[in-house]
Amino acid sequence: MMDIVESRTGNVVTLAPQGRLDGASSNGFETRVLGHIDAGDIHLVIDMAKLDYISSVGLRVFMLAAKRLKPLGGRVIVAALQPSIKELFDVAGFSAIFTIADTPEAAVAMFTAS
Amino acid sequence: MQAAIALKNDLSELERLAEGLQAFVAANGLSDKTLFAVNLALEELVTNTISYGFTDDRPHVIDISLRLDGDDLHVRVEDDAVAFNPLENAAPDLGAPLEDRPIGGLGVHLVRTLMDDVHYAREGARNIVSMRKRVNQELE
Repeated sequence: MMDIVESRTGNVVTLAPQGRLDGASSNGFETRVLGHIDAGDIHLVIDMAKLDYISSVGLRVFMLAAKRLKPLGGRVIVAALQPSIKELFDVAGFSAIFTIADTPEAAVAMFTAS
Repeated sequence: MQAAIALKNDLSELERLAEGLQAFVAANGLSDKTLFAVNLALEELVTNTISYGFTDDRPHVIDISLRLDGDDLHVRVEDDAVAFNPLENAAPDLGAPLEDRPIGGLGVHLVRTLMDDVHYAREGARNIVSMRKRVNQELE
């Protein structure tokens, strides 16, 4: 099981998946993320500092979240991407879809500033 | 150096795949970047095969082989699943607006981008995907 550390600052929820987001752990991550969206949490920060690996099933969850949030006026900001994962986001064309912040604090600040 | 990993057609085997790759990369002084790319590519192919490739309830084996030849890492995936060329899928339109981008379909694109060469062949009753990635050991 992959741990997902959660915190809240005002109306921004930060989720920090730990370790590997792959075929074994992506369902749990998807359930958590969509659960928040369904509960009305539409400002999400995904803190990727402790994420070592993500495969295409994991990327799929990000895509799903972005599509659900857009009509709700919400969005996902991803923070602290490790270099391999940043490169993957570029390859997948995700850098055009997701705002990328250096740190989760900066990501939260982007929400509260807007 | 060479290594072979035989996986059962069960998604829980992906963990053993990751461990096998980590061991190979460590033993050969390859980089985390190489490990990441090869793990991702293999996970994608193997997940597809396990999820869609078998129509009976019998156990099957997916054979992974790794071979380092100078600066080239050769990776081969062989199975006896139904004939399926994973490379036939069209590349996704990365410039499309969010609403038009499908949720899936990224996997094969990632395989093609992360590896330098990818080939598919059907030999008798077996699918064979051969891949090559340039790894420069001095710079790793």
